[in-house]
Amino acid sequence: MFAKLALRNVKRQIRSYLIYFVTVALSVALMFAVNNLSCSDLIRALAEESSDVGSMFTMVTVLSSLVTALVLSYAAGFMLKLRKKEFGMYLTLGMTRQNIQTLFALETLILYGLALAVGIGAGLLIFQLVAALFSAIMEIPFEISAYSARGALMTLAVSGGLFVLSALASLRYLRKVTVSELLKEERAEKGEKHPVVWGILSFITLSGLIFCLVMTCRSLINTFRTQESLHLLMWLVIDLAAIFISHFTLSRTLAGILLCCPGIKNRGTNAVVLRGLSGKMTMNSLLIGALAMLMTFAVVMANVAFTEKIHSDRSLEKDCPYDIIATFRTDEEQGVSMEEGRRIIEKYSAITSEIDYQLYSLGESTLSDNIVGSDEMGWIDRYMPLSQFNRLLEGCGYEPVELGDEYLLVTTVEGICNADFSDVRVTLNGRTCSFGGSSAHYPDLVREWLYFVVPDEVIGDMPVADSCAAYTLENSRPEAGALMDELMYEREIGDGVITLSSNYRVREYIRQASNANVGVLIIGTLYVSTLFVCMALAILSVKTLSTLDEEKKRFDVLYRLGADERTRRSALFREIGVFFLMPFALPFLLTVPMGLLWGEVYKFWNFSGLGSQNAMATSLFIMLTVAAVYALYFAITYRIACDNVINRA
Amino acid sequence: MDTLLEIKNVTKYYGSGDAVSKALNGVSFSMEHGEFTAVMGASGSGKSTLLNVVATIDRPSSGSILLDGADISGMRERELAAFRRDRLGFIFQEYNLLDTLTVAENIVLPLNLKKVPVGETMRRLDTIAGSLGITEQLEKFPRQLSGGQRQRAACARALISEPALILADEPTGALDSANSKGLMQIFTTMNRRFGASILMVTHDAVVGSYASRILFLKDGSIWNELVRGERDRQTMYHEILNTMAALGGEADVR
Repeated sequence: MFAKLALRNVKRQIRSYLIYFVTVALSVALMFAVNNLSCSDLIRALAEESSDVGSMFTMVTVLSSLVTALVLSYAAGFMLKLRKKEFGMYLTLGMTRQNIQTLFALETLILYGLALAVGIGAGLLIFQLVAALFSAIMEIPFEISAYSARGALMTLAVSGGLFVLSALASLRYLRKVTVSELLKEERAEKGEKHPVVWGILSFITLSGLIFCLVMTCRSLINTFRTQESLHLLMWLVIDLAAIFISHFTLSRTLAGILLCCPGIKNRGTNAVVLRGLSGKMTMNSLLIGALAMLMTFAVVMANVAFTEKIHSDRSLEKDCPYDIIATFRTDEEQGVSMEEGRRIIEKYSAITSEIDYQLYSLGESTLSDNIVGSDEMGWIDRYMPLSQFNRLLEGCGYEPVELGDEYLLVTTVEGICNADFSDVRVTLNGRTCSFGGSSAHYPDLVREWLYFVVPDEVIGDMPVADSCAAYTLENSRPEAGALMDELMYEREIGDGVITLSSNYRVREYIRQASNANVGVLIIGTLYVSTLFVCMALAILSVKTLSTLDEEKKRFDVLYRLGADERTRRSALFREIGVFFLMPFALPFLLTVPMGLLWGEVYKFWNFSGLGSQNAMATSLFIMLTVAAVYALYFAITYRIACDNVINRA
Repeated sequence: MDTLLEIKNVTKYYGSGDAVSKALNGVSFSMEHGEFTAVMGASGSGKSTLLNVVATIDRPSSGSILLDGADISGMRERELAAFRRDRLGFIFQEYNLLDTLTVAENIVLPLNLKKVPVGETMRRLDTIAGSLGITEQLEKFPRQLSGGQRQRAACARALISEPALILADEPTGALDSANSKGLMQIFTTMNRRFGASILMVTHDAVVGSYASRILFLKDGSIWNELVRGERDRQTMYHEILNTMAALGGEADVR
């Protein structure tokens, strides 16, 4: 009997339960996709190679479980609120609490079962989409991925466990709550009592937020100069706190401030909308602050992940400008010799060109001593002849360098360029060279922190410090893993510890490793961001729909007072729209400064051809994705609200 | 006085198939400008249905309703909304004030919907609040007021847009006898001082006795009519009780 009654109740209230249904189904679908991905052969192989990949997926699974738990508990609370009067009535009519608990448990079980089925169905598709995206990031051919029984079981276990927990909490409430509590009307929402005080607080917190964001931008730029990220992390944490506090205060103030302007308040239905918003936003100010913080975090993380991908692609050209680069220090143990290496490489691909080059050194540190920390690092002055340097640059598409009686400092660390060499001269082979500049933007041709490019005549009979070779292959994408295995050797690094080392850098190998890490970062970040967005929207929807009874009364009065349907729809649209937009406005607005900021970062990284337009495009893409999910939830919520509030008026 | 409202042979059916019920059965009557008319009758006699069709909240199945000569029974939804906004004022048993709005905001809401300038809105608010004795309550929320104060606020909201006709549905239904008496005195003031035309539905014989004319409904038709003329309120009250007894209904006596 209860099963039939529960089924009938679900059918009857399916429109009201739509948000719960969509949210649970979406959470399950995303969880299923990520669990399957984490159990796939590719990711497991990557996780074995890099502990970062494994820990990233563990973090994503834990985060998604927490988020889903929060959504389920909110949604279950909403369903209880929706039905509590009805349950109160059942109790007064003689039903036992056990009957009510059974009925509610069956209803939520039916809904959860349906959402689980739809979620797994959607998850099957989303998994293939995620796998395709991952393949695209990894730059490997996409094949339809096999589903994992372990992934499906993990999804069932986690979502089922969370469902049972939230259901138990609801059942406990139904066991403890009194009949009068079930039957009594909800307390009317109150507006804020001290609008002036909250207005001042809002002004202060908003100013603080702007200050924090500016400081974060400066700190970010500074981080690239000094490689010191502690301050940036501190500012990011402060930013999140500032976003929370400013949204908390603004939620309590915004409608109140507008209500103080008679010209705005006394226009059409503005008073009704603003008073409704004032109550709703004051009651939910903590929630709005938390959601704004999560949204901003999600949008910034998605931006960072995509920027990391661009950085990784562009860095590859800088980190390994040729297909293979071999570097041998004459004073260090040799691994696979250059002759042996050449023979191994040719097993994988024909070598189309080879440039041999050297670094020379007298073992002195006349120039290096001008750099702070040079002593600890044990740097000595290494020189490369200008003709060799230009030949290498030409091979990877850079403009040649011209030097008179000057030396050029070349480094991979931006901070080293700040060292003052303006008065430092060096005399070698009877020729004195003055400082001709420094740069961290040239490709990494040798495995040294820094070296000096000098006119060829300066080198004379200086001893060779590093012997190097740059190879261009016929097949620029050889079987990198196997090739690298052959080019490695075991090296003792002290206390009997043996490590694998190599004198060779294989570009394809670096690319694959980097793509795997960036791929996991992007997928993980997008997944968490999507979950955050869905959770935020689901909570906002649930909050909106749970007050429909009161809304209906208000809009019935408007109807009787002569507000036509369009006016009432417009009022409802504005009220729900502003409530939904409140935690999203800042992440939306941040798109522009974030795009500009990343543009500056690209410039700083000297990524030719990548400017603020590309950065802006990435930011806009992320925001449009967020906006699409936002539009879906808003449309469903607005539609349900209209059906209940306007059409039945 | 000229004719304000003309109800011509209005019929209203509810339901369909075998479950059809006739709520109004060829009701016809008219009201003059400045008239205070009460509609009384037993439960299910069609009082509220009549008020709803005049209020344009419900449409008649047949017949016509003319306000100042304009037929409102055939108007479209949007025209009806404008008609309600511009020509009618409502007072309900449950006050129907918006809990989230202050008393002042509730009262001026019809003017806001009509896009009346702020200065004019404030001027009218001061006048009406002063007349109904709720100036001190304007910045309060409805839940902070007594039942009588809330109903006065509802009267102010109905009056502020200077409607052609005020419709009152059991306005004293939620009030005790003292507040009921106070409200009816306000109705009398609204009628005499502001010239408001009022059509009121009530069960209460005492409340009905304040009207200048009373229509008695039975089974969806007008069964009888009482006009006060020169009679005092006490006489009118007894006439109502007698008519209700003859009608077979039960009038509330407070």
